[in-house]
Amino acid sequence: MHATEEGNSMANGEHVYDAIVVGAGPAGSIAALRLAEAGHRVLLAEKRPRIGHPVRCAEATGTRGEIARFVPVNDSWIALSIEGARFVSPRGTVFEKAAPGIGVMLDRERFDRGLAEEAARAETEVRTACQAVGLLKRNGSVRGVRFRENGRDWEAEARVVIGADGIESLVGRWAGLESGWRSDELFSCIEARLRSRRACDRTLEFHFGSSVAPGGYAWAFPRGGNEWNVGLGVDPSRAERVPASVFLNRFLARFDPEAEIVETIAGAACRSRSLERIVGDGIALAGDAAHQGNPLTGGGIMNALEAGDLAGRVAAEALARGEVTREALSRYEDEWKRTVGTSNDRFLALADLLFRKYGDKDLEKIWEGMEKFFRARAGGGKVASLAAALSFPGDFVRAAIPILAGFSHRRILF
Amino acid sequence: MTQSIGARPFLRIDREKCLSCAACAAVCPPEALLLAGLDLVFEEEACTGCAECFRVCPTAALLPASGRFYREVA
Ligand SMILES: Cc1cc2nc3c(=O)[nH]c(=O)nc-3n(C[C@H](O)[C@H](O)[C@H](O)COP(=O)(O)OP(=O)(O)OC[C@H]3O[C@@H](n4cnc5c(N)ncnc54)[C@H](O)[C@@H]3O)c2cc1C
Ligand code: SF4
Ligand code: SF4
Repeated sequence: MHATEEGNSMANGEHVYDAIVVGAGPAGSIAALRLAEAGHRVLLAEKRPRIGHPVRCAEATGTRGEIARFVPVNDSWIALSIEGARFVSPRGTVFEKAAPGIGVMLDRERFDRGLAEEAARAETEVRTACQAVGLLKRNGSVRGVRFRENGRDWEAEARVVIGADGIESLVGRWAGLESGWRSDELFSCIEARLRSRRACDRTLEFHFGSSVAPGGYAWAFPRGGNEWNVGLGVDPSRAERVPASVFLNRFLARFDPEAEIVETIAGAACRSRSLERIVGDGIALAGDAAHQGNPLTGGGIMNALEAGDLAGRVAAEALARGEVTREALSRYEDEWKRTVGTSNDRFLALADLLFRKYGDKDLEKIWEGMEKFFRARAGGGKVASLAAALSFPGDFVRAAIPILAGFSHRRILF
Repeated sequence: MTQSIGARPFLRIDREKCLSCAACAAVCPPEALLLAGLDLVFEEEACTGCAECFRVCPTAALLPASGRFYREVA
């Protein structure tokens, strides 16, 4: 990768960039790519020794076409295309919906590395094992980053810094953007990558219920062959001091007690409302660092791409005009709030009903209604009148209609 | 990482169980839990004992120095 080792700028003792992007996940790599394409001098710094490793993800995302809006898609990034979804109620009632081509399962490690390589190809300087440990500021404006690399601290200046440092983001906190998390704003997740006797189909499977995953859901996503990502996320405020691992063991016993576990991974996923502020003078946050994941599903790959793209483009324009003030960057914040931010807040309202307000009995009622709803909808019925006629709770109808009817931002699952 | 100033540390990290997932770091208000690369570092001087980290740890790798936090966990 471009200048990963002892970078040119370091050899010259000169650490000045137009833009520094902290974190080489999907949000950071796309932001760096957009900035570099616009001709700016960009540093993309990732603290892990290997980009994309270890994976903290179940790897389901939007379609190939959606990804291609941001970057040319490499075949090796895609494990398989998803053809439908299966939802299992607390009592085991299955509601299945065919949805050919609704999204793909990624090879997340290859994907993340591929995105960083794209950024490098556009002349971004990519450094791994390079950890941001603080921000440089001048007159309240962010003017650079302090890094720790091989136990040595060094500083780099930049006219704008993009904090794309994921769920564990500190860049936003350092910049005073109040981007820390409360424990009830996260799904606490654990997942086994396993080989099962059960052969993979192309359907994403979701399981709900207070004994399966309190305040969240369990998933079984096919990776191809007989390899699966089987995991779950719980709402820590609902799990009553039982760690997610206990629920995973239970769920695995049900999924396939003889499955061979290849690897266990964990992490936290977003279930929070949109942040009030994601930009400041010389600073913007993108991706999980900006709480931009879908709070219903915790999925955040597409949103990270979308945010990195928008933040990168707005920052590039601001740089070109020579003004990277909060005001200049607020076009990113405003545009985000108007689009995905608004739909995310709708998803959160629905999540609060499904995962917090409703008990297992209410969920059963919704499963009953679902089947009827989609059958009637296929027959051409109007969404609002149909939903009201079925046995859904009233608040569910109000929360779900904008989403089901497609008024909301285009993605339903991830 | 476990030399303590006066009082013993509020928590211990079970390194066998920790998957370096960063959930605890995400919620720790004073930034007392941090991932340096992939190593979880606990700065006990900064810890205020708020217990947010225990709630989110998916593997019960954080153990309170006294008493119990997790239910059903040996
Ligand atoms: C168990 C689990 C399953 C999930 N499943 C899905 C799914 O199926 N579909 C989906 O869409 N989403 C899923 N998500 C969410 C998804 O992984 C995230 O939303 C997505 O990775 C966000 O991308 P990002 O670029 O914002 O951050 P990340 O991908 O987290 O990237 C942030 C990067 O910043 C680096 N970094 C952090 N701090 C520093 C620092 N100080 N200096 C330098 N670098 C730093 C990190 O090492 C990391 O590489 C899942 C999450 C979890 C935990
Ligand atoms: S108890 Fe609170 S302050 Fe101490 S490490 Fe945990 S989250 Fe941080
Ligand atoms: S939340 Fe638990 S498993 Fe994750 S890094 Fe912290 S101690 Fe380790």
